[in-house]
Amino acid sequence: MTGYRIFSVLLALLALGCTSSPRPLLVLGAASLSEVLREIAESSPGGLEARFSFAGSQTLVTQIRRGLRADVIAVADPALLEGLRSRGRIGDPLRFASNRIVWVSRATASGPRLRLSELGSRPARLVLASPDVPAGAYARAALAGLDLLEAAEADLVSQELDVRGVISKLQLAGADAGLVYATDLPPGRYPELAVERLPEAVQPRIAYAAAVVSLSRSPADAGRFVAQLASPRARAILASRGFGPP
Amino acid sequence: MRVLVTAAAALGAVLLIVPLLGLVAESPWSELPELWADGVAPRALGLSILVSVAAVTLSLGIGAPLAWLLARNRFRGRGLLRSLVTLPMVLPPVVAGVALLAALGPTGPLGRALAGLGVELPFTTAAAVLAASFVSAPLLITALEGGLNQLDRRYEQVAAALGASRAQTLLRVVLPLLRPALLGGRARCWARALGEFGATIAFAGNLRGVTQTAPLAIYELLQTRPDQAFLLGALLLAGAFGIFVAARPR
Repeated sequence: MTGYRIFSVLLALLALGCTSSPRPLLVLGAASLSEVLREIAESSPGGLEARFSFAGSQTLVTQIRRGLRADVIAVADPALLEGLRSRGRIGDPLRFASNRIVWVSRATASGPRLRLSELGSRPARLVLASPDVPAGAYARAALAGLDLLEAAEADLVSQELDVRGVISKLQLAGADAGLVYATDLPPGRYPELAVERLPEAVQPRIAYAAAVVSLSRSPADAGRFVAQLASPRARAILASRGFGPP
Repeated sequence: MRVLVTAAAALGAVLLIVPLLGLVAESPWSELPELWADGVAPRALGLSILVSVAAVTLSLGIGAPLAWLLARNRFRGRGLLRSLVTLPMVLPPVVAGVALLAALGPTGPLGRALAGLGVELPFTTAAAVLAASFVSAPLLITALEGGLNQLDRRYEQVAAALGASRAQTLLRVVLPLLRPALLGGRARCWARALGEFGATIAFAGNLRGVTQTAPLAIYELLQTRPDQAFLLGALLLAGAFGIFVAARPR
């Protein structure tokens, strides 16, 4: 009898545990969004609890395509989400932020820092992301727009797997200049690196988009999470990290 | 000749050790309290130990019988089976993760069977253990199979002739003789599991406290606090060094 009573109390507690606290949303996010998405979720007034899994955008898309159960996906390339949407894996994507490519350089033993306009006229060691990753493709498109691609290819000493690698080469390996995302250089983090904006005309459009995953067990909450990314509060957080409006 | 060997050995030692010293020297140790306080690093290191030890255990459980089968039996397809079970070693890590997703994800053949039992592996610690085992078990299997092949079977015949049962022979004769291969294979398996990144992030995700082992935490920290990422790398290195020294065969 006592055993039965304890058992039923345990069962009731278990049921309570399952219903009273809503499951936190599982948000799959591009690695470059890690800090800003956590901050937006923490400042959320609606009490939307979320846990995050950050990886490369391509990996996240593969996970959703393979039917993994998540609630929200947020990636660094809206074109990636189009493929998922046409297969019915996600709802309509929302573009919520943008990024830009910037020229970054440092003074070295061989001379003062290299300005973008000096590319090709002064010897330099240039680092770019590989053309196979978005950052490298964007950088090459911008350089081509400036008629500087040939000069850049001639000065190229390394092609990196990601923007992080470009910054490392500048910091540690004596490279003179490179092209990276603006959000990778928050004010004050790399005092030795100087940033130069590209002319608007050649600045590629780099957008971030999020969508509700069709398999979500809490589609309403997932929808609220995506919608809040366009809220003034989220915009302010995104802007403070160097992201632009969509 | 002797001078040449010594010089080459010294060069090798320098090549392997200097980058590690560089990591330790470059790490901002003054930021250690801050890194430790926000809880991400200790949880990731703890999870790394849990996942890698579980992966070695699982690898022993499935790898030892496989090594025995390959070393002690002649059957059709043995060479093929040996090649297949060691193949995960050479897969690029992210590809290993996609392979696991294809097999054990909700749409894969094994994943569908698991779903029928109400089990969803992705985004669980069990998935991280499986990912680590998938890439590290082959190291244990090859080491054990090599050890078994080099074993002089006359020891077992003598033990049997002296009246030992098969279990006694295994415990008293085979296992002690296999000890070096077993310890070496276990260390390599464990090291590979501890450093596992690509298969884990693709198959198990990167969830703090659940699947975010130290390499995955380093990846996330690199995006925002690269100094602390190096520091966590140095801590992982120090931990691995400590365990290697403690587990060294005497």
